[in-house]
Amino acid sequence: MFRQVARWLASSVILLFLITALTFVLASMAPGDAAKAILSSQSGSYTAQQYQQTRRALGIDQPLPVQYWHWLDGVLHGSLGTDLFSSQPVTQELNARLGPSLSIILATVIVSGVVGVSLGIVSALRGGALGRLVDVVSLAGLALPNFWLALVLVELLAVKVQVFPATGYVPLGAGPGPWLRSIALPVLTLSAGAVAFVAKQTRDSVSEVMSREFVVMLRARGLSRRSVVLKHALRNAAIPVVTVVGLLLVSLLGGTVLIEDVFSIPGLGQQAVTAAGSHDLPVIEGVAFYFTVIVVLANLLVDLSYRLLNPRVRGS
Amino acid sequence: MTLAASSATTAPGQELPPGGVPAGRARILRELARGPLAVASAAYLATVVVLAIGASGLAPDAPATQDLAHVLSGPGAAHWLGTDRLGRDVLSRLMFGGRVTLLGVAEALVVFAGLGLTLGLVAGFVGGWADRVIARFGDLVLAMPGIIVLLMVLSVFPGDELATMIALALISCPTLLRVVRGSTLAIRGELYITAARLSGLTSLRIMRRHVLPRLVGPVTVQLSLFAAAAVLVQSALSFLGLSTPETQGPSWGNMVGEASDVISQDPWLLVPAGGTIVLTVMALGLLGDAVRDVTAGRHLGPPPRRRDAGPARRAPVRGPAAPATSLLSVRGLTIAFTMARREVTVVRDVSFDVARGEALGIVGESGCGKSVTTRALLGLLPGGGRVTAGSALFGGRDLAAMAERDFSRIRGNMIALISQEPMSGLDPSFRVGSQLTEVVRRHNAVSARQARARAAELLAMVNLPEPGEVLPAYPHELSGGMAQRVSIALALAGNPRLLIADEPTTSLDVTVQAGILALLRELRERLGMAIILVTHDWGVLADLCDRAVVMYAGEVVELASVEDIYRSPRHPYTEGLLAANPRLAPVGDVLPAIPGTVPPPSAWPAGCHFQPRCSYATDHCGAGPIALTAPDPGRLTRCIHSDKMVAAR
Amino acid sequence: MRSLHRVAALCSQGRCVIARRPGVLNPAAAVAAATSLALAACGGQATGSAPAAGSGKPGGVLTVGFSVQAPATLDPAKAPQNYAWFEELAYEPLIVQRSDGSLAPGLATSWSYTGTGNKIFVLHLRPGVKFPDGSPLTAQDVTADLRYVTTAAGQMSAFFAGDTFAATGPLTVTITTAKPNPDFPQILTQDDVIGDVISEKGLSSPSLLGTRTFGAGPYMLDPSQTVAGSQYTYMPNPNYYNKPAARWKKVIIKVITDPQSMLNALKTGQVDVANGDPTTIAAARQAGLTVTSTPDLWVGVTLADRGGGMAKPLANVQVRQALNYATSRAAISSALFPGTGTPTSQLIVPGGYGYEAALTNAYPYDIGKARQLLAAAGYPRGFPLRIVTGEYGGMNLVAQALAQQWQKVGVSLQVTDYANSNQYFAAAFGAKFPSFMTVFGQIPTWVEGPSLFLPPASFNPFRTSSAALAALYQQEALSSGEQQARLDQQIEAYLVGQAWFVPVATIGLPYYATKAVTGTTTSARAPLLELDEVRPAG
Repeated sequence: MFRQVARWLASSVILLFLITALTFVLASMAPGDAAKAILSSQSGSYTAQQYQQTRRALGIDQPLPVQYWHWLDGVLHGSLGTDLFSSQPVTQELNARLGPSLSIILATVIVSGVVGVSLGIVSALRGGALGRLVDVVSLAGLALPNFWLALVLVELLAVKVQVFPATGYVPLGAGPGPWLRSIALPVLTLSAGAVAFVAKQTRDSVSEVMSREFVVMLRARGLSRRSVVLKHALRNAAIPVVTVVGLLLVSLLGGTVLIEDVFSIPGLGQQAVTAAGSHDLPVIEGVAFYFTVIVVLANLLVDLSYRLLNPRVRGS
Repeated sequence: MTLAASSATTAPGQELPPGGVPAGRARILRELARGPLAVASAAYLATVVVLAIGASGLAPDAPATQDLAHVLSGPGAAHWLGTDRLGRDVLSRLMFGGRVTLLGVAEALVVFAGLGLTLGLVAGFVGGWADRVIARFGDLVLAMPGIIVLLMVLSVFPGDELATMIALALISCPTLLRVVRGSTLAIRGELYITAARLSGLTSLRIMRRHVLPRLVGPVTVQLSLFAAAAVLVQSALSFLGLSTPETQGPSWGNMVGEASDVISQDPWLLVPAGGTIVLTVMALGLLGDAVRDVTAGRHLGPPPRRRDAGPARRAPVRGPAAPATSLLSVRGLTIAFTMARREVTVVRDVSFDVARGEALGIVGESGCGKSVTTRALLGLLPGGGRVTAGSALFGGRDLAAMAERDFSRIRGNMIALISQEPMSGLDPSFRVGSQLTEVVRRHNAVSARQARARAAELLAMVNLPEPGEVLPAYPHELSGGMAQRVSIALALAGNPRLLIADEPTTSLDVTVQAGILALLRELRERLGMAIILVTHDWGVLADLCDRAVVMYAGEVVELASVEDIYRSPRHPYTEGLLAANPRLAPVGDVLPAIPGTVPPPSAWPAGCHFQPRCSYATDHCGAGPIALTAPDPGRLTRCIHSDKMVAAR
Repeated sequence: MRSLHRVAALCSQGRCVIARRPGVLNPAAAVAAATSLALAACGGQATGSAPAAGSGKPGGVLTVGFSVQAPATLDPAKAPQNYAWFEELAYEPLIVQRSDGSLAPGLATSWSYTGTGNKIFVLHLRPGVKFPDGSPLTAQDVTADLRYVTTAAGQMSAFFAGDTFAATGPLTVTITTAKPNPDFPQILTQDDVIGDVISEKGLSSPSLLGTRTFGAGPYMLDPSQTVAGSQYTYMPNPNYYNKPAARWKKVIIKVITDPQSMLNALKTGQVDVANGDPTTIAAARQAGLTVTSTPDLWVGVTLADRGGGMAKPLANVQVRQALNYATSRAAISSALFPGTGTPTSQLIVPGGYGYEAALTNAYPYDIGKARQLLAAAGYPRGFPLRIVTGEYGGMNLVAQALAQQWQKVGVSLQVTDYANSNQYFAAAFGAKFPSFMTVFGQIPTWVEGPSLFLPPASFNPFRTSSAALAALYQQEALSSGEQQARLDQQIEAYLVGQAWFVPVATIGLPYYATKAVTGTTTSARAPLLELDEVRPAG
């Protein structure tokens, strides 16, 4: 047990290290830098001297490995550096944006998990035409452009019938009702595609389990169809579904970028895009860091649920 | 002591065994061509590709030709799909744009497939450290937040769709890698590969001839999914303004981007490019689904529910009337399966009786239909199977015509089933105790504590004396024999009057076998429970059963007491089997095996199924279906020459 | 298409245009106060919304929609013009710009040049003004502030280069400029941001200026209700010298970058006033919103290589004029900027500095004339021309349209397109291309010089100089009133006659407002919406 925890910690740390290093390298390969961005946003032209001064002030005149080392050093002391543009601590900025992004991602995972699994079960059991219909409909949800769907939903549910707000995010602290209403449309938009993944995988897994011998035996013992499906089949089909849900969570990290843009949600995705465009290295690194931590935690949850679901893994 | 080995046919409705019919490309294509959705998808994709490649010749206008006087016009005669912000023809741009998009997707696919396949094959086939390294690498790449990588690549190569597609392929290839690796590992472990190796084929040859064909299915699925994702990512990035700039020519991505800009002025503009992307993604996805369905050999969907007492064509019931003490009377039971859209009869005119407390054996080779018959009695025929004629009267009700919902009163309660594979008959995810109490409570209205006590009792009944050890165990922690005993305990939980034991000892050790048989005997004596024992082992039959039914190629060929069958078989097949029994054959002589092979259901002879192999056969045998006759009271045979057999003795 | 690089502002030392999306034009936006969503008030940092409550009533909440990326810093010395709204709510300028173009007293009650030559400028400050921290406004504060602006390397600080600031009385400030500057008052208004005075407290801790406000304006930023990058909340300043002018009990600026979303926010009352987008004008009108728009920018080509070093043909004025004749401005304007674009051959809009009605059609569309001129210049079959474009302001679309039109006279435009505005600037201002697409704002002619046409200007990367132009400019620096206006016209006429540019159309950036508010008008000399003039309707 202890050894496993240690191993998990070690591999997570390595992952963090590798990803942030890779991000550093990639970000530095991009033409231009933060100094240019700052200077050109302040005044149309600037002198070479101003440019060098700014670079020095920002600390980006150092060689890459040195910059990365400084950053690592900061991380070990609990700081992710400061935003080159706003001079705010990166952790502060990102923490403020964590809430909106996580709210939407987790809510989407829950909604699409519940709906997707239900759809998958229904189509696995009814089969035939219904299965195909689920396939087609969920593929359509996946294929529709997110932003178009978002605009249509806003038009229908926020403008014509003012049930939900058209833009913006209300934090949980302001009340669960307004908070839920503010994330409803983004979650709906994202779920349209996410449901497809989950439904497909659920249907495949449940179909496969239902064709196994023990299911026949369960029925032979007279257990009700509901019990056979919802208790036994689902339990055995769960692992691939859980895997897909984990993958979904990770892919939603990127998926929120569009949504945050359309709905003006101050989330991590928006921050990532902005930082990438303006070469704000500390923020880029910070976002990569946060994303990786989320991925690591998601994988951990998935692994833990494997243990819960699969007695063979549990024993070992 | 077993009967002749397996026939070439597999039980209908089951998946092909590994190493069976390989999923050749030709077969896949043929199967695909049967599904309308797959055909439509393939046709659509082909059209798109043709239009894109032939754009120079087929497009109505050059993609850059502007008409500033007619911007953002909807579809019309001059421009079928309307015009864009600069008055350029949308249809032409869509076609030329397809080149960019499809080329990008193709390039991404090449990288994706190349990397995924190579790494997966190496990992799966070579194994060892290579496998470990590659698997780790795959995990690492999958854990990377892809959006960060894409954004970074885009800042290094702004507006370069190709770079984005390749980056996407790189970060996605671990999914293909995993699939290929998993399949390769599984295939590698199979016997026929070892055989191939031993016979001298090099690894590469083995890979090419055996491994790659089996991978076609799963790899195609992954490829189509990835292609769909690639197209979607293009669309998403274009919305963010990160796609190929218009000045470099149209692409579906930048057309969608433009449409999203002017969505307020011209909502139609999103339809051509957006719609094309949606349809392409869907086509790719549906095609992938279809390939997966075909290569897995699955029919889409589950065993369909048994429809309520469909008026099946019932042949008039033949044979002797059911004795009054009969617990179960089967008459003329005929079962058919739908395979590849044709209905094939696999069991024909099966009749037998089981008296209360009696042990009846059903004997026959693999594939003769004995298991199918027993499943039909409980309404558990696998997908595509149904009873087409006959009856099976049990307690005054006809099981052959029973609706699904009525079976709940029969299964477990009246009739119980234990199957061949003890381990796969138990739910691997639940503890023994939990499974036992569940069944107990299903059939008895008791509290949880009472159910637990009853569970312990049941375990004692099957001679598992340490309930404390067994109850909390998971199936995989049990030995084969213990698992079978647990299955029996589960079967007993509902106090059934009839236990169907479908080859209960086949997969067990000889010593364990004896114990199980002894248990069954004991339970029969103690509980007065009738048993139908399905087996292909004469020794088991003799051990436990009073009477036996011999089945051949879907038919009952003989029914008699076990003694009578041994002493004086009345059907050539039975006689042949007994003669081929190594235990009974004289030492030193060649074992007289029955010449020929068992015919599959699709190739049954019109008359007696055994005729081609029978030494007593005459022309009359092939004239038409042979009916069951009673040569002696209490015996049945399906042979018109049974008297000759008596005479021969 | 959305540009990633919204932060990149086209900042000449004139009006700034923020690079947001191609086809979208954004001027320095003036933030208006609009009624807001009361729910946001309950503690916490709400950026959310509910159907508008108390819309437009006096003492209500005003919510303003800002469609460009949020400001990186709130420091008035550094923030580009685009963010004037964020500054003017909290900082009072020395001189106030009215929406009709006139100037009014701010923190300075009167001002004038003394002597001749437009070199000495005197400001008289308003007595009794207090900053929120209680400290009084003194001449020392103003001089310290102006010195800070000079060293802050912000967008406008170049204008103060070499100037000296002296507190010649407790409430009197004298500025001695290094060079004659006839437009000093304009520079000190809220629209140019640097006139916003920072308190001594703010100046002593400049790092805080990025996220907090230290001005004497009607409101103050409330950090506890502000989420950087998406919502900025301003509460009334208890020490404001003109309390009745602070009409709202709260002002919120919300950053909403998607034009459709902005439109939806207005339609549902989440926002009361916002800067709009040419692509949504028709829809805004249909939705019953008030649409205000004043032409503010011109879009076209800068024929930078007038020396012919890189593109020999451009050295010949006939060639440059030919290009002007070969441009069908009306077609481009109506196709690409319906409802907001006006075709023009000159750089100035009606009512702007240096406008002359006759110049608007100085180069009517005439292919024959164009071909003639080209032939006379020695290019009867045309020539290839390299050009670079960014992707905002619709300039990349105009480039494509021009490519097709100029093809008719044999000029083949080879367009290089940079979505990344920084890259575009670097290429354009770095003399890497003989011509570049341009979007430029309406500013006083004298201010235009150092950014547009004088040798050191960024929009003049090949450093073309003209003695005639230099002479006119020097005269202008020393002039004022009528004489200045006439010199403005002469300078602009010179630029048109010499065809240094190929302007195609002037475009206005729209502002949308709900019916709950009024006071959202703009004018040619004050095209930016002044937030302090927005008030509840009725």
